[in-house]
Amino acid sequence: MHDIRLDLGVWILVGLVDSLLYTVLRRRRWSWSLGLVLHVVWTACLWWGLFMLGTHPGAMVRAGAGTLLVAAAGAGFLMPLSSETELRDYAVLAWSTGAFLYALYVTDPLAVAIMTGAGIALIAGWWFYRTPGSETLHAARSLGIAAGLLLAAAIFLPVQATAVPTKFAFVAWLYIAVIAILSGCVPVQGWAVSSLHRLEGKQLLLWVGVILPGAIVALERAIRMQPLSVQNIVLGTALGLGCISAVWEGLLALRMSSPRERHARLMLMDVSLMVVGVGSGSPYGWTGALLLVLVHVGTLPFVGDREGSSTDRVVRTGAWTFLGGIPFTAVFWGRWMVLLAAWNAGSWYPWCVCAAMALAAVASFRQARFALQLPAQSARFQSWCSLGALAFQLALGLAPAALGSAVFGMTLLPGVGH
Amino acid sequence: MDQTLYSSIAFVAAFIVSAVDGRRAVSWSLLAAGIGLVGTAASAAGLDGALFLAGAVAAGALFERTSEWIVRSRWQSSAQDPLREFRSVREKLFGPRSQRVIAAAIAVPSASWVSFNIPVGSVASIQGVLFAPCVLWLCGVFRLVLARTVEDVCAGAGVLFLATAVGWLERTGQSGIAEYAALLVCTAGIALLGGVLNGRYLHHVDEDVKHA
Repeated sequence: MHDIRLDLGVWILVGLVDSLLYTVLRRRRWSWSLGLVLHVVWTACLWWGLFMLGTHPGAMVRAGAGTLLVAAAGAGFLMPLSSETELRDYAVLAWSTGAFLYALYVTDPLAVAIMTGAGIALIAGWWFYRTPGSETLHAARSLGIAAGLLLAAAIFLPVQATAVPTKFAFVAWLYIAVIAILSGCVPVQGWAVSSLHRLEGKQLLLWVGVILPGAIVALERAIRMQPLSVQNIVLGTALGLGCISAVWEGLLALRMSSPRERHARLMLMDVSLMVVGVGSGSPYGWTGALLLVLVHVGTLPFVGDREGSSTDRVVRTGAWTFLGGIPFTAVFWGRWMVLLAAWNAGSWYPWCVCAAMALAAVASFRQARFALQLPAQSARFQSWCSLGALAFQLALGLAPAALGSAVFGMTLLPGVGH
Repeated sequence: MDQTLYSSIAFVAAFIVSAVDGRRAVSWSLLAAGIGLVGTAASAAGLDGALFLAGAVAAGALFERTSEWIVRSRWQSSAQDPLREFRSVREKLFGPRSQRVIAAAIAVPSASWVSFNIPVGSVASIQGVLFAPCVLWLCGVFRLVLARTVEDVCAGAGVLFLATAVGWLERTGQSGIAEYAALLVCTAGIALLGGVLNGRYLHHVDEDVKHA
């Protein structure tokens, strides 16, 4: 069987070389080309590892690694669009993704917690270094707390099957707090609420594409290492929190006037739906959650009026329409899968998911109407990149089974697109 | 030495960790937390645990000073002051330090409850041993929650990692010394980061003075 450590070693080493060579290359103005070349190396390296992982016993591990890979690839194509991208951005991307990937493959719960916390802390620290300000300070602070809670939960993990019930509840609530901080769920709402709409495209992409899938999959692994009673408390509470947060964020998305803020709220709504998907514990929910990550990585360059965003009128309108969840786009499949998972979970959960989907549709279509009125102005390179990514979104929606199984593995796609 | 003494030292250390401010806040808070935790570390893993902890605190102080000095003398870059407040807050009855001390006062009963009700690892029968790491861990978290400056974030994160390391040692005993050392290295790394950030700003100040 292929040894993933080889891939990880190459991945992290390239990040190191990359950051060391940065200054020299910048003087010669080759930095942009080297960034792309290095990114192709990382992608090829991880693809190779993924294909060899077909025999890995953990379907979620395979799925999480696949999502991280595609998200990292998406970040690699977004970064050249941004005028002030440094090669060290790539290095941080490589190292944090490497940390999350390592967290996916180890079995020791403390190692899972340390690597997840390290990945989160690295990104938060980098944000602060690049754009020091109250938002990034808030981000660093909240992510630091999440990492600390994760470590504390690992310490309190029961080692005996006969542990006392208070301990189960205590560990469960530590995990719930981590989930709420990372995903911006009510009542904690994490760092995301005040800073999400202020972050630039590539910084936001590190959150959507790397922190979210990495932390969610690693958390799922850590929670699965718990006794059944802890799992039930965490997943059940996450399901309820996710449902309430999705409706709340959907309502706020409807109220927002600027595209950035509306996009941030829609993103938080989908993150809450991801929490619902994971909390349901069903493969449908997982597939939906991972599809939604891909969707936001793909649509991020075209909405929200950020640096590096395409200003092309048609592409932007198309992206907002996709975010509304019209059939049969990838957003539609993602939310549909989460709805199926919530339906299976029963109770009031599916109604909340339905309400959130309706609110997101109204908010997105309202923004799409405004986007049509914008002037069409876009550089040719950006236009081609935008159209390519939009075509990928469309293809993912039309053939989710074929593309999804290539990314997530075969076991996680129960009936998508059939 | 008994748990009561360790807990009393940790109690005092918790308030010092919450109260220290200024450019050396990381070093002082790590020193206070280290003194508060050394007894617990020694009781969990013997001399090794205590020596590793003392080494990490000393390395943290050394790294902070050294990195600040190196960066201050060589780094050609402008930077913001790590002591600059990022949140514009109106004048209030209680300032940031008072808020942290109040938080520490809340942390004490919380840590006491956890240490007497939530057993860690296999040491379920020993009551109260977790008080020191728990109270300092909570102080680190509260320091992060109430942080207004970069220095606050670094100090909070450093104490949090130090307390987590000792908590892990309580859980595993001598067998978890490798993970314990890894967490202590993170603590020293945070102190180093604090020194670098201070040095970058002070270099900038030095340049301004030179040009003036």
